[in-house]
This record gives sequence, structure tokens and C-alpha cells, in this order.
Amino acid sequence: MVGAVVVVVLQILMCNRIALWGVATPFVLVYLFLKAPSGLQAHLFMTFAFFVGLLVDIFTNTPGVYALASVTVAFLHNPLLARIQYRDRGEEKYVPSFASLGMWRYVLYAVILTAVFCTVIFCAESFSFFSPSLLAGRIVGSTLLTLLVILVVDLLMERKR
Amino acid sequence: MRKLLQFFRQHSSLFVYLCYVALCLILLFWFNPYQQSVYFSSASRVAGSLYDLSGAVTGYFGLQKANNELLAQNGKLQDELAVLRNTLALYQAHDTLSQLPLPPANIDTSRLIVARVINNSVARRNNCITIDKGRRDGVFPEMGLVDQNGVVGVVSSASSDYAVALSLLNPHLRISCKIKNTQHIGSLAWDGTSVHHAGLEELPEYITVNVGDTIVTSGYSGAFPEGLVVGFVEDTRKVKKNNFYVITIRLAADFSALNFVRVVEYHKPVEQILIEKEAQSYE
Repeated sequence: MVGAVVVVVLQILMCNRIALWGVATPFVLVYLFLKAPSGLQAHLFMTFAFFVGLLVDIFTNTPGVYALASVTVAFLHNPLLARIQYRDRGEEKYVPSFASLGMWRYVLYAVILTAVFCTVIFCAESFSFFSPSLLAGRIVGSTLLTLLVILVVDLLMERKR
Repeated sequence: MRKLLQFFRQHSSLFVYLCYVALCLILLFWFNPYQQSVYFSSASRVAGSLYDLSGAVTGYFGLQKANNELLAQNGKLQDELAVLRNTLALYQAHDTLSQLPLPPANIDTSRLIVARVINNSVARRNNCITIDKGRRDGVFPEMGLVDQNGVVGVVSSASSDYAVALSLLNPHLRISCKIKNTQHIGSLAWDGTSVHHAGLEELPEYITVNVGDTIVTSGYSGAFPEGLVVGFVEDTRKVKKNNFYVITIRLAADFSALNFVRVVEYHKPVEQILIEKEAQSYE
């Protein structure tokens, strides 16, 4: 819970103001959804994601943008986990991490969710103002930077344990 | 029937997802004209906007009735407006006849309010600035913002204590500018690529510009008086666009380091507004 608040505050106050080379913005908000345990009730999770996204939207003057991206990621979370793990765990609940999914599976999982999040954010934001190359650059740049931040944080956390 | 229900049950999370997507898209389009963003921006109190949102949801049920009421009210207000306009025009005429006409208002009519920038974006497509002064301090939409270097933006919405302005780094904002010491008018617009540059559009082909020429406001728009610095010519190459030419200018203000801005309170003389309106009505 405290972690969730920290992530949201970080996103609002710090990460939204970063734009490396004008294209790469870290969206640490994804981390919140990435780390959601498996087997959550989809409806509740999406509702949670919607309101978290809306909260960030209120502070960034982008009504609907973050909410849409968050809900999309929340929607994909469970089906993706079910596809990506190497053995059927049945009802067992676990938190996605390097340890629980294995190195490459976890990276793949993070790449997909982050890429979806960034794509939705930038597409929704640039609806009225179009330049495809810049849009693609922003999506790729932000996905890479977000991944870097998330994976480094994860490695550090794992190391501590 | 049972199969249908089963289908819904099986894909219930998909339907919940689609509901949320619809809700997000409504938000996205509803608040997209940035000028209306006062209901849902950092200008308004968070609580207030949440209440507004809940009101907007329940409000859908009475939309038809509300629409009829609004139509009636609109008609009434239009009548009232016509009467008031006539009265105003009458007084205006009396005024101008009874005393000598005043010299045209210039920069003297603008008083300066200083505000702190509390939120600012440069990385997005549509960049906005939030300042800590609002209607209570005399900040209203359509007022201009300048900092020590030059023009920064135009206020788009204001609550009692805060205001949100479209920064020059917002393709929705266009400002009428001219090249200093000439009368060549262009329109400043941001193309969304560089934080430090913008384009001066709608220039005729025959003019010559030099690198470093100063670009200032023309005074034609309602937000700024004439002669405030906007930027400098960076590149004299003219790019053709719709029969007119665009030159690249370097913006004077540093948008990544805004701190204090001044709100320019500039009013076109009432007389000018009236005659412009009158001219428009003949078109």
C-alpha cells in the first residue's frame, strides 16, 4: 500500500517531468500493475487501475490518458501471466518477479506490459496532433527507459532479499 | 438464452474492460478542448473535480430534460444580451460624443501580476503551465503570461486560486507576431518537435529576414500588447507551406526552467472591440 502511494507520487511529481532527448519518459506507474499478484479478481483490479490512472490524470491535466493505459494493462495482466509461465500453478498465488517467473520470462512479461502502456499513453495523447516518426520515437524511447528503471529497481530489491 | 448468459459470464472481464475503455474515451474527448479543462485540471480543486465527475455520470439520466431547459434559457439569455448590447452601444455613443476621444490605449493599460509556476510540462504534445494565481487575484482566461525573457503563454482557464495556461509549446495556441521594426505579421505556432524552437507562419515570400532579428507580439490578439519579445530568428531559410512561408525562430523564454511569470492584464479599448465586432457582422 505504501509502495503504491510512493509509485504514484513519484510518477506525478518526478517522472512526468523527465523527457530524455525529448522522447523518453519513465512511466514507473507500470511497476504498480506489473507487481500485482497473480489470480486477482479481474474486475476489482481493473477498477483499482482505473482510479489510480485517473488520479495521475487529475494531476497531469490528461483526463482519460493514464486511466485508459492503466486499465488496459490491468486487463492484460492475468491472461498474460497465464500464457507466459512455464508450468500450470493452478490456484497458487504468486508475485511476478525474477525468482517466481524466471529471468527471461519475467523480462518478456515486463517488456510486453510496458510497451502496451507506453503505446496507449502516447496514442491517446496525440490523438489530435499527428507526426508518426516522433510518436514511434516516444513510444520506443519511453518503453526502454521505463524498462531500465523497473528492472534495475527489481534487481536491487531481489538482491536485498 | 442460457447460452447467452453463459457467454457473458465467461467474458465478463472483457466487458468490464470495454466499459472502462468507453469511460476513458469519454473523458478523453470530453475534456480535449484545452480551453475547457478547468473542470478537470490542476486549476480546480481535486475534490471539486471529483464531485463534478459524479455529477456528470448521474447527469446523463436527465440529459434530455436538461437539454430542453438549456435551449429555453439560451433563448432568454440571447434576448437579454441583445437588449444589453443596445443599451451599451447607446451609452458608448453618448460617451464618445460628450468628450474628446481618448488616445488609443497602449501598454499603459496593462498592469502586471506576478505568479509562481507550480506545474509545467515541456515533454508532452499539448503543454500547459499551472500558476498559483487565480480569479481572486485578477487572473482570467485569455490573459497573457510573460517571464523575464519573453512571452510564455496564454491563460486558458482559471479557478479561484489557480490558473492553467497553454504554453507556447502547445499546438493549440497561435499568437500573432511581427518582425520588430517592420510591419510584417506572422502567426507563431509550435510544431511539436523542439522545446526551444517554434515556427513563424503565414509570412509573404518577398520579405527578407536576418539571423537574430527580434520577433515581437503584434498587439492584434487580445492577450498581449504590442512589442513584447517572443523570440529571435534562428534560420533565415523559408519553408513553403500553403502559399505562405515559415521561418524557424528560437523562443526567448526557457520553458524548461520557468519559475516566476507575470500575468499581463491587457485590454483592447472597448471601442476597438465594438467596431471589430461590427465589421464582423457585415461579413
